[in-house]
Amino acid sequence: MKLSRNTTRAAIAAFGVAALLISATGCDRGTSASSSSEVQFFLNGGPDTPQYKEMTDLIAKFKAEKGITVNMTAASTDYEDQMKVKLASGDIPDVFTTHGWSLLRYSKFLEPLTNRSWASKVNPGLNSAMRDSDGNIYAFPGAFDTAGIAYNKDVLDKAGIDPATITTWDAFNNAAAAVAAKGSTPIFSSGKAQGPAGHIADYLAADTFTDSQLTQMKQGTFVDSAYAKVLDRVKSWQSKGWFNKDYSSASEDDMAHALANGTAAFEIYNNSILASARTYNPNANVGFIPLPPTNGSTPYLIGGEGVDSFGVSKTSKHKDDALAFLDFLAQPDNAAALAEANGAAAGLVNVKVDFGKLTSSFDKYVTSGSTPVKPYFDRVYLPNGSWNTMVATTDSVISGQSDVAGAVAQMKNQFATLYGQK
Amino acid sequence: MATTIAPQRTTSARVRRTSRIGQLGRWTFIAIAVITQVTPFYLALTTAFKPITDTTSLWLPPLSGGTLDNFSTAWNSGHLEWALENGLIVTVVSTALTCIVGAMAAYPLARRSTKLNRFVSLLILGMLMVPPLSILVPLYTMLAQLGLLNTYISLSLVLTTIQLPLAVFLFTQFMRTLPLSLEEAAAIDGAGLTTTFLRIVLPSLKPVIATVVILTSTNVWNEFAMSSYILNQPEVRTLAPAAASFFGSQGNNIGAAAAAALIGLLPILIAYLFLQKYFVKGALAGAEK
Repeated sequence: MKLSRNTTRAAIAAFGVAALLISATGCDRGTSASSSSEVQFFLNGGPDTPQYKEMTDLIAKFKAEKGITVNMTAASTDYEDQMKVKLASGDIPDVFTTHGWSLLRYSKFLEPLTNRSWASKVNPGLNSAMRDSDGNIYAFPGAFDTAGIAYNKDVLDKAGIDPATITTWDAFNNAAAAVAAKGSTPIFSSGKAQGPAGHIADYLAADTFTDSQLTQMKQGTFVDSAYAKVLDRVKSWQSKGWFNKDYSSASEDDMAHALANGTAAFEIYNNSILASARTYNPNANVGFIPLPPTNGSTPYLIGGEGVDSFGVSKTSKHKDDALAFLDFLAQPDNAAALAEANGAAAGLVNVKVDFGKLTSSFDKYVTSGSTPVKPYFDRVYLPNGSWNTMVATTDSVISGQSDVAGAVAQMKNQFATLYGQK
Repeated sequence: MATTIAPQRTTSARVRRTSRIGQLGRWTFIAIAVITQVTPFYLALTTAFKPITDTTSLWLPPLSGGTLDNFSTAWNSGHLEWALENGLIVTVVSTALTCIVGAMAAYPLARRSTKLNRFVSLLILGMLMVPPLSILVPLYTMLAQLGLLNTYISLSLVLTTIQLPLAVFLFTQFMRTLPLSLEEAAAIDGAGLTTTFLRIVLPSLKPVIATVVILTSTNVWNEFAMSSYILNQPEVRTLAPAAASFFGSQGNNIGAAAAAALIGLLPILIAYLFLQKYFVKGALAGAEK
């Protein structure tokens, strides 16, 4: 009988504890959704990132100036998945990071921003990625994301190579061979990160297709001969053993470490890898060069909408406040602070950015405007959803799991499937 | 005499040798198991105490002197003080609800073997096969429409729902092994259904309740996928999403993530040290008849 009473009491106590825990913590956290009067802002970036910290400061400054509260929520690696769920459920934040997809993926959910005062100052290099055929723009570009070939100058110096002389693929191959001869890794990439391999194909493809082939791609015909040229180049590096031996298990952090420690010469990846390398070794002697041309005659950079670009939901209940927030971010000082935090060029031409130790590379190739900037190939010429296959097929060539013909055929099949779904 | 003793000695020597080989095999197996279990913790420790500029191998301890910076970054930037409290609230509420509702649901299923109950049992068992994320969009939409996103009650109810099928299955199986005579005796003494359940059946469920508590609480404490969608504001975020926030598209802070994981481990470790005997009993309860 005593046992039974205790058990009954325990059951009641469990209910009580559950109820108490919910109610006792009430009032502030976890008992009600955010205030409906606040601008909801969804940022792509973890709490420890420079972007997050800078944005926190800017939000405080915005509130002090305008009296409008912005409630920032952030997600990092799963940002895209979370955003898809929010869009599918209609729970769309007032302002959100468009991370390179303001036009192709998000434009139908976004308020056109073409009439904002800063819209005419958007770097023309972003037009192909961010403006539609009528010239409308749907996001404020907080960063002009540029990418080329990242290098460690100390490794190249040891091999007797001046990175500025690498303006052709022959020169690149000679440099890689010289680096290999000195015992360093010529090209470092990551198979584990499920991305860097795709970047290699993406950057090479940008100048491998002719204009007529690009037109065919846009019209839904996959030009396999041109795509095979891209993977042939990757295969030639793989067969010479120029990729890092731990390619399959290496992570994106290992890529940053390799540049920081001077164990690898080149990485064909986003310039953010340079900022990561600097985090691990503030004295790392790193920089970047444009990609040598394949069809064209001059080296080129890859560029487009960076991860720090923000749009306003067209169904927002706080549209005016949200637009005021974007206008605030677009003010030159604020936009410069954001771009510096992101380690990228500014998206507006009237914004001056301090690139720190990477200034020489940015000044030479980006700020001067002398180097042509081509858009990310997959964003313009491949149907939405192709990226994973692009990564997987390039990865299979680098890891030796597939030959070029097999990888191209897989890419062609996926292109046809996804294009048919458009 | 000598001819009879010699084979005995040989046999006992063989037995001893076989026993030694068996012991060696057992110890080797245990050593491998221990190393497999301990290695991730060792790597987390070496990573958490290294400054971000220390690029030496993960396997090496911090040779140039350790740092607590990663712990302060994890605590301050990751808001771990909130994450621990949030995780505790969601875990306690979900575990309590799972035990209470699970036991109540299992009672008629175990005691009334009708066609409908057998169908319901199979249906509940079938729900174990449904990947929780496959219902994410409609679930998220419903919670958004109810204004329940970023509230404890929403995640607690969702995780209780996810944990219930296994709990109901375990309770049902265990209740079927209990003798009916106790309940019949209670009925003769005038006890109703509720009284019999609360005073006779529930006290007999202690071993399986321990099992359900362990399984549910560890699953909920470590849950990542649903938590990251339903509670995504820093004030209400639970531990796993808080630790994962140090991995980003623009670079990772592995040191802070390892520190966050170690901090998150502490409550479980402390609970385990104090409740060790219950954990062991509970883990074995499912194997007993």
